[in-house]
Amino acid sequence: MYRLALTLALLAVTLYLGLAAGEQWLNPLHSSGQDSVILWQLRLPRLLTAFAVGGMLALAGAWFQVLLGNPLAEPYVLGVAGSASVGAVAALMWIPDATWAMSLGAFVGAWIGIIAVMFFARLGANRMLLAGVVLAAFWAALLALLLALLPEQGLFRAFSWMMGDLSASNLPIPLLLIAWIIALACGLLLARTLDILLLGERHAEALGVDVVRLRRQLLLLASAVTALAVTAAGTIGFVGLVIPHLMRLLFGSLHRAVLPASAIGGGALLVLADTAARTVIAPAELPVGILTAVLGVPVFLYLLLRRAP
Amino acid sequence: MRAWLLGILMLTSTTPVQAADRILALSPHACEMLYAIGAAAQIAGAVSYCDYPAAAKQLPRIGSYQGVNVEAALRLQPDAAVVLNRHVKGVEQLSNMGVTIIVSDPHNMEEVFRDIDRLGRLTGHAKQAQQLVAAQRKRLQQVRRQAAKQHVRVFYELWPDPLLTAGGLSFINALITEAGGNNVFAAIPMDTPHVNVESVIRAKPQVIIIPLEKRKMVERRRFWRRWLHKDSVTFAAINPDILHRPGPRLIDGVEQLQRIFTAAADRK
Repeated sequence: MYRLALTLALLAVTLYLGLAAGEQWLNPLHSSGQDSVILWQLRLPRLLTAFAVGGMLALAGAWFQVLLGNPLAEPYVLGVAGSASVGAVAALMWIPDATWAMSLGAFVGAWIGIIAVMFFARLGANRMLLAGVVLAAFWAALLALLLALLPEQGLFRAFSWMMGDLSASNLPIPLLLIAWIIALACGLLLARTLDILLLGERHAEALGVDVVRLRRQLLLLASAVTALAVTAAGTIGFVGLVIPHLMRLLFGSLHRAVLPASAIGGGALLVLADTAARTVIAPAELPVGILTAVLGVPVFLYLLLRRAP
Repeated sequence: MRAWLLGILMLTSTTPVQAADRILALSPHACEMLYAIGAAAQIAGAVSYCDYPAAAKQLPRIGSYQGVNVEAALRLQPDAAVVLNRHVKGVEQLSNMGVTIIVSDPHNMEEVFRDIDRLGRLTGHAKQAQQLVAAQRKRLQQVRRQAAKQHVRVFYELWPDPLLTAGGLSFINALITEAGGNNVFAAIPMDTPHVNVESVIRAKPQVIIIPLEKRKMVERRRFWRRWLHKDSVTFAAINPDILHRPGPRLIDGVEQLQRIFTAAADRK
């Protein structure tokens, strides 16, 4: 119980920091004029986007780890990020003038990637993983091709997107928050079944779980959530891999604890990382993807050592 | 075929004792410099983006400024190549084949003048180059005289998304200062830092310069006016080619900046 309280307290601190910190420290409880414009029209939307995207990536990561029975799995392992990047850069190439083009391209690309993986869903976790990794390599090659052909002015945009860019999200924030809630709700509904699946597919089948159907549902759910996160903010790495593990180390491996904790923890990590990205070399900014790793790796490794048998 | 190749090799490996007659212009600004000093006839080949003056569009292309196609370059029998730096792909090979490599990467007006001069000597148009430099120096002095005494705060929107600007180490920062402006991000010790909307608002720029590169001025103006009061800021578009290429048209860019800043300072 005290852990839950601790998590919520940390979340509150993180959200407060995310609003208050920046080029200049602002007090969210007491602001006026230009400062309140900056707080509520610039920092808040970005903070909420970061929270929803981080939470969704962590949830998707937790699902992929169960789905593939592999602790190294993360939201991008089956190539969804790769195909989304191909879509985004292709859109940037053909419709360079429109700001929404990259989001649309990423979304379409992500779904092409998902559909490609779906063909292999019935083959079992290992083969699906293998197919996904090979597809990811294919998307990476296509991406390299597009980047080689992209006019120079487009490269800034492409690289910034590929390293994760929360300042350029085009998706409405209510949509992202609702998606976060729906994703978490679906996760909780599946939580018990996921716990059973963790015992192994044979056991799960013996206990009456339709494994093939479950795997397909889970793949679709995890991929859809990943697609949305990537569409909103580009390919932000690391959150989806480490947060679920971190939460398992803190809360044990029952999914009705891991999933909500990941949804909140992932959001908090990304908010923290983005705050740092905006602040450490202010008024200049760093790519947020660097910060998620720099902040997350030490914490994760520390916990891993401490909990080692 | 082999004899033909050998012939080319021999041709290209002789070091020029006199003026270079067949020059590769491997950057847009080098190309513009060569045209400006009357050495157009000596340009054997160019890279993409060498599009000024209009005649330059007809030059044979041998690559981009990321890399040169060595075979295509050698086929043009060059004796010299003007490059941005020696790390451009293919340049080392050209150098090994005996092509004289001239590095031109000016970072301020003085270095532009120096390189115009060097190309003048290389091509045997030293006199024209000197005249051009003298005329440009005069114009630069004029700019300095007319620059606003009270410097205006300037935000240079190099790129909207990600929001990139000219930092303290950039070429453009120096030009802004020269023309009578105070770059609001001059304190960032980088070339092209990524900044956020918040810091721009806080810096209260009086002038926002937008080098239009497939950008619509209307859109950018609408974007900034959501945050900045419309009477407090002037927007000015500028052709990026004259400000981002350190060539003979750079002085036009500096003059334009100076006129924009002076007008803004007077309005205040």
